[in-house]
Amino acid sequence: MQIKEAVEKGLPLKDVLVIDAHAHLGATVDGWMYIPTPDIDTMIRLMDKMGVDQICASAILAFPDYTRGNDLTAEAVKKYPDRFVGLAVVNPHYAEDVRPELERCFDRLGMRGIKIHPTSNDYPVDGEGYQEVWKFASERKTFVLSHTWHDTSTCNPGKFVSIANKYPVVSFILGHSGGQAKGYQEAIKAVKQCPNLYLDLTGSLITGTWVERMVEAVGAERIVYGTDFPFIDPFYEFGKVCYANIDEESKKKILGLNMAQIIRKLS
Amino acid sequence: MSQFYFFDANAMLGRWPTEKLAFYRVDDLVKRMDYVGIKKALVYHSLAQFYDPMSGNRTLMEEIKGYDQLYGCWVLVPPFTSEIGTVDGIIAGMREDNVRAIRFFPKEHGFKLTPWNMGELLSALEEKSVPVFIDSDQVELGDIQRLCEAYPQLPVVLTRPGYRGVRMLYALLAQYQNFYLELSSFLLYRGVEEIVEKFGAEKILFGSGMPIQDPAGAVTKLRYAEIGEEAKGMIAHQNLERLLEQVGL
Repeated sequence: MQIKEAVEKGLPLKDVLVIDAHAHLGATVDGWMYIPTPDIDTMIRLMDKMGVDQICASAILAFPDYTRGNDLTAEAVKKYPDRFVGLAVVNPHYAEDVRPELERCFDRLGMRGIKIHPTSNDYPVDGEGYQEVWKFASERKTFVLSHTWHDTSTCNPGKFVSIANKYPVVSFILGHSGGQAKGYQEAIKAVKQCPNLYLDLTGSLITGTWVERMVEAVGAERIVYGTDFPFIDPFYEFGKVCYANIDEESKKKILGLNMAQIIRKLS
Repeated sequence: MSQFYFFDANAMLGRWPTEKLAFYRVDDLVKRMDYVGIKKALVYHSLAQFYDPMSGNRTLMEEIKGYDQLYGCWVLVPPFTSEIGTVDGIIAGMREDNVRAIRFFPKEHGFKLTPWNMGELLSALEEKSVPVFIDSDQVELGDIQRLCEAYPQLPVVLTRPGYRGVRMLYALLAQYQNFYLELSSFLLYRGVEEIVEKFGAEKILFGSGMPIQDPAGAVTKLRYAEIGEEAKGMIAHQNLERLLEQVGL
């Protein structure tokens, strides 16, 4: 059965590896935004409905408080080690704690990737506070998922070109691919310049038409599927990729094969 | 396969000034509807938003002529500048063209949805039970509350509601029987499920938001939603059909 046909019937994808590269854990949103039933068991049930094998998740709590947030992510990883790939979050304003926290997350809490959000922390991605993140990621040959948005002072996609060139063993995922049309164009331009940069399809404004344009511009192997789940409902993003007018092999790469390859690079 | 079908409450024709969207022509809209499985659509024209409402409405009616699956939604502004003619003339024109829904762009077009600014237009629409559609980026939710309060029999549909104003949206859903949400860009995690449980399936209308949004998003959300088939049918098409059928032009 083709992917679109399965989704038209509301069925989980079978025999298709699906990895959500951009997810969260919303159990303690702590007032920022209302999210109904954000417990991880509900998340697992919804993943099963879509046929999602794994999600790469960071706790939303980690953006205001990375220590407590990373502890929450660790709980989810411990409970569902085959379904959650934990992403460690650090805050560049606490630069002296970046390496110790990443070591704690990777060596004691079972994390396997890094998530940064320069907008939430109001800190430029090319600033000093992130330097230890790049060094650590390079040592561990891991991946970094960063929020990106066009026309910001902190994390527009173009800022990642020089960082990605300096740390070629790190896979950098441009979260939201710049967030809006001008951002997508900027992200595409950046990805064309660096083999270790990837586009992320998480974003309410990314349409199937943009998925098709991105595939044509950079190739399906440079794009990963993401949803922001449970920050937002995952079924919208899921549908957009599954209905996109691209060939079946490209969909499979985007839905999971590319992210699996990125995760496999970990030392 | 589920038995319900989709009647889209929020589709647009015409070019978008700041981005090349998926389509702008009526034949491409119809192809897109077929591709994602949408049977009928309520449509407005971008010229009515970005140029002149009444000439945009005329362009809309010319373009959808002969497409029985498309239903026109006119864009209006307050009557005091006479751009839309008289209120009686508007109602007569709607009757003649079988237009049963209105859309407003208060921010884009520079007005307020208040009795002093709208004159007799909103009262007339309320009297005829004509549903009005408003994008969430065109108003403050406080404006929607005042609109629902001032015109309790006027069906008010908030389109592209987003997911950040939920604490106010729930207050509107709880307190105003004439307030409805359209599904496109309503990305609140399990929001459909919770609204159906708390406020009833009659409060949500399926809408694709295309071509600004991807219709596959809302279609997929509803197909997989953890609600009953009856509720899915109400959201997918029955609620909009009921609103349009009760219009008394």
